[in-house]
Amino acid sequence: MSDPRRLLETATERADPVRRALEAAHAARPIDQLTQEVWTALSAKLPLAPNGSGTPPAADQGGGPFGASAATGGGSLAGGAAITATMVGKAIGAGMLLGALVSGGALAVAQDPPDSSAPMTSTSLRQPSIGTPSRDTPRPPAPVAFTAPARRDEPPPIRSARTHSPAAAPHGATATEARAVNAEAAETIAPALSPPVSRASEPGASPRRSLQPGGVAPSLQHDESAGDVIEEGLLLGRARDALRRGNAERALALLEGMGKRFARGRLVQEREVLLIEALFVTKRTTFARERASHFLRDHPESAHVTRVRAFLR
Amino acid sequence: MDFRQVYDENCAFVWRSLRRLGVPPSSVKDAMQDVFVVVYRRLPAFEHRSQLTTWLFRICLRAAKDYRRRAHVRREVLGEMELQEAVDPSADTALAVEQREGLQLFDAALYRLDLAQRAVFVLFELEEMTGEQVAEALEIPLGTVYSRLRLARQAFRRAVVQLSAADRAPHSQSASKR
Repeated sequence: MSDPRRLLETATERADPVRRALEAAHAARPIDQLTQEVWTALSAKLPLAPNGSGTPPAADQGGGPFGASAATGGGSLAGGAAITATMVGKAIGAGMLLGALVSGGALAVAQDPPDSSAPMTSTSLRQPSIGTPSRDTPRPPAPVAFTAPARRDEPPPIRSARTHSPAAAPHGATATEARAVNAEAAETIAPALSPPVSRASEPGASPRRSLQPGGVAPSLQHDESAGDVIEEGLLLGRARDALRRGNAERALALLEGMGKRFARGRLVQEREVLLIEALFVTKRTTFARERASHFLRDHPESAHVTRVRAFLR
Repeated sequence: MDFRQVYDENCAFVWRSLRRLGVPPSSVKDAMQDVFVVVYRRLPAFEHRSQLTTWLFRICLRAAKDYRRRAHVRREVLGEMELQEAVDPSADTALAVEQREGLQLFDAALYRLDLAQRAVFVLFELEEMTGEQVAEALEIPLGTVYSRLRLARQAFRRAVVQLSAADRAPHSQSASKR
């Protein structure tokens, strides 16, 4: 058997999206800051000489981060909050509205199971002493119940590889409520556009599940939820680009497709806000205003409230 | 071999391997540290029977698997991280603006592949290892490399075509039956 030719060799058409995807992947490099930060963190952890060469210990003490090693259980919740802080910091730094969304929802942390063979010591790496430059002061938890939990998808079709945790149940009631309200709002307002909520067996739905503590890890199927969110983001980005380029009708079509595919997706609010904007731009003012006021009623704590309110002036 | 040198020469490889194996931008720095701590400890015993990169890739694969296992437990927190990354998964990447969407497309398509397929696909198509090198890196038979690669290519192409077709107006949507 000899090797087949590589995809990039055979995908010679300029317009071939496979080519575009592979070329971008080839070109992708980490930013310098990232490699610096990782090195700094390593230097703090390892006995490296000033020039960085260092003398590793003669005997391997345990299996390294992947073997059963230093207990990290105590650090996990703090680690969780610290991760959130870093991420919130980045979100704010990037000027994204999603930052507020993050701080509200993210602190409902499912703790690591108290597993003594917790292989990676990564949680210990997230302590403040590592000193990652991008870390900001942690935000206090949002005292008011945020809408983020209400947007979780509960309970979607059963997938064999996952176990469904009853711990997810508390979100169920709010989610159902929110969905019912959304469905009502959408159907009365703009019948021409798909409602945000649709059929039960939505293939694009991203189930949010947590494992039972100490439960069996699912088999390594493709990571549906993370992949779905990325796809959802891709579609949203396209719609936003279309709108910015002045093609509002195209944006509406994309958002409609997005709504069908990701009726219970992570970015339903972002989609709705963009939809409202596109409706205004295409002079469907009545629809736009009605959707805007319903949005404010349904998501009073949303990060997008200021923006949506502006539509109503 | 000097640890610093190994780091400098292979940092980008470790980064992109971890990313392509499903570790998101928000977790990749920690995962890189985990990888290099192992490298630091095991470097003296590394006998060059395999290539350094295939050795490193195995460590990255282990790190990625560990990440995924923990990720399923930490769904609540990571759900929000994914949200941020959905907006720009290439935030940690130095890439020309016009290529960012290509990279998003790549990331999204890659998620359709399971980890085993991803590993083969990434090593063969992007790192341009030979079939034999891939077999050695992943400790699987060459025949398995080829069959996984075939499946991975099908899944990848299908995903990419579908994802990019979502952008075209309905009437110009070309047949994507491959």
